[in-house]
Amino acid sequence: MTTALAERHERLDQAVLAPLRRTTWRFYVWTAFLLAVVGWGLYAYSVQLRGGLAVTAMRDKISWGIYISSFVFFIGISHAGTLISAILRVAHAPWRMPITRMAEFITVVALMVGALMPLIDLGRPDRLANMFIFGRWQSPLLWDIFSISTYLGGSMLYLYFPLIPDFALARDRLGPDASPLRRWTYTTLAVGWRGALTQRRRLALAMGMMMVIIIPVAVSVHTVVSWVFAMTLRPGWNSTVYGAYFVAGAIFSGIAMLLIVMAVLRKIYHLEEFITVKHFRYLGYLMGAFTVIMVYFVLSEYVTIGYKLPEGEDRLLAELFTGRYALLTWGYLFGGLLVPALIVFLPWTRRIGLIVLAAVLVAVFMWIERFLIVVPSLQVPQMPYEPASYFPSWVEWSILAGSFGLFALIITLFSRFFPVVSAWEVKEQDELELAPAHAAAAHGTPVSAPSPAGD
Amino acid sequence: MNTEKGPKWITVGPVLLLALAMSMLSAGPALAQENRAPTVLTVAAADEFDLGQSGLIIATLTDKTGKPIAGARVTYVTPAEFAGAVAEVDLGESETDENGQARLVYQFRTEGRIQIVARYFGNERYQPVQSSVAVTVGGTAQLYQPKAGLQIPVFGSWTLAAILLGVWSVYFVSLAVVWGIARRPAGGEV
Repeated sequence: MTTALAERHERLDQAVLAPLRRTTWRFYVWTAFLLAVVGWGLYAYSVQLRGGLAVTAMRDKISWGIYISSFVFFIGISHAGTLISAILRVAHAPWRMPITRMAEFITVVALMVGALMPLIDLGRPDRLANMFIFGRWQSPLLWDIFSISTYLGGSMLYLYFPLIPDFALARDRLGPDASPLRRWTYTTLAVGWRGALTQRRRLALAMGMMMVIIIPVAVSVHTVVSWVFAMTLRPGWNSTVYGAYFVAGAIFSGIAMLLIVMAVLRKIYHLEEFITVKHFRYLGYLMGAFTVIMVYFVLSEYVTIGYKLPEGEDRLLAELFTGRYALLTWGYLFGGLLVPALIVFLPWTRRIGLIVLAAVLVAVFMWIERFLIVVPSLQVPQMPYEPASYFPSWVEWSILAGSFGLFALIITLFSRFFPVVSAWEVKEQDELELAPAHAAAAHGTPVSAPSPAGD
Repeated sequence: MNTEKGPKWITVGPVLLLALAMSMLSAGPALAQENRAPTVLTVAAADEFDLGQSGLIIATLTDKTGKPIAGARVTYVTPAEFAGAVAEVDLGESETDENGQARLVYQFRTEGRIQIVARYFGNERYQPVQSSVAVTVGGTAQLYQPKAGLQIPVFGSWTLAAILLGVWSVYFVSLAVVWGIARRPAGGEV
């Protein structure tokens, strides 16, 4: 290995291990803030447990609200890991290496938080047991439980396997910077990794099996989530394209969330050399491509509904486009689709800051889009009564904030205790891409050191 | 003192005629009833049925002498209560054959003690009549089978279990492969 490459890899190790070595006051302040948010959410949940679901704005006519909207949202962003880590791995896209770890743990954390939302929506958490005792195989709700738990199990394995060499790195390099408990943890989780050829083959085999199986599992998860709605006859939900629509929306919002997390962690942990503008641009292109796909699905869905106007759908369309949800709907179309597409497709706006802004817009408006899927359809009367209205109570808003706080908290803690960049994969990719050039340079042909800017 | 004394039959007569007409109107049906032949209706069914089982109910209509009455319409009902209201639920109708027997095949969808009332409304020749029988319906069969839903031929719901089993098997196999990493490399190979 040439000196330049070795130095780059040493910088990578230092950057990856730095968060594990020391903690600044900013970390404690941020964690305390998140704990406060989560704590407030827990308090609101305790109010809900004592007072029942009557403390929310959900009633008999509108029985799903922001809890289920958030459930769909979180399960959606979990697709980031599958896309970046699995699909791009299968496609042998080399640029994915520095960001696969972040994508994989976003998946796991999003699934964990998302799976809590239906439990919160249930009211009495003990009734979860009824899903297993009295569950019907014909019910999409039961399919949901099995698919999400299967995806969570697979995602945890898919997060853990590539971490093994980095656990070994932490085991070998942290030294006295880590407590005995942490050194023991890293040693145990590294399962004796020494980088031997047989070990590498085993790891490659296991990762290969998981990367292939996790893709259909991820697609099935959000398809099944969509079927919770599409298997009903409600206006707006009774759609045959919901499976594909939800999967596309999941990947779309997952990319956005990955961009946001990437930008934050890159800034905080000084990973600019390894996560470059190229990664933001490429993810931006993917996000832009999915913007087009989402526009297509929106057109496909609403044009066919608007042309036929079946019973109840006319009322739904009126509420969405000219009624009480018009602001949210048009906001989603412009702010969540058009503006991000313009940002990523126009050359002069294709900068990290603006790409991240586009990602923030996508994330916010995709949550709103999930809300627009869930609530307006429930407001269309199924019998001759006046439509009900829904505005979340403080309990619901607090629990929502707590769920996002929990999401951020787990990511924060993960980044503190586990390497956020897959160092060994970056090194392997560097050796594949850069080592031949540097070897040529060592024999007299001039070559530049690896550019921190990437491309 | 009444100074005008007409004959009494002028005031009494119309009253008598009116009374006679009213009594004839009210007595008409009774007279007609008396002219119609009395009938006898017996209802027979098995004592016990399983929930969801179809059972045969036979009503036999004869005149007083035992002669079967053919071509008569017999209606079957059962008293029922729902939300505090009591009414009769129609079970069906059938016509008597040459033996005077009217048959009804009925699927019992409610468990408990069921009263079946057979009723003949009569005609110009025969008087109306009804009779009843009680049957016991028991069991816990699931009668409603929804048509909608996922119906996978042969394997049914086990298809889902098989898919889940397959996926989790891959997980465990990959975990076992990774567990082999814990074995020390032979000869210190790198």
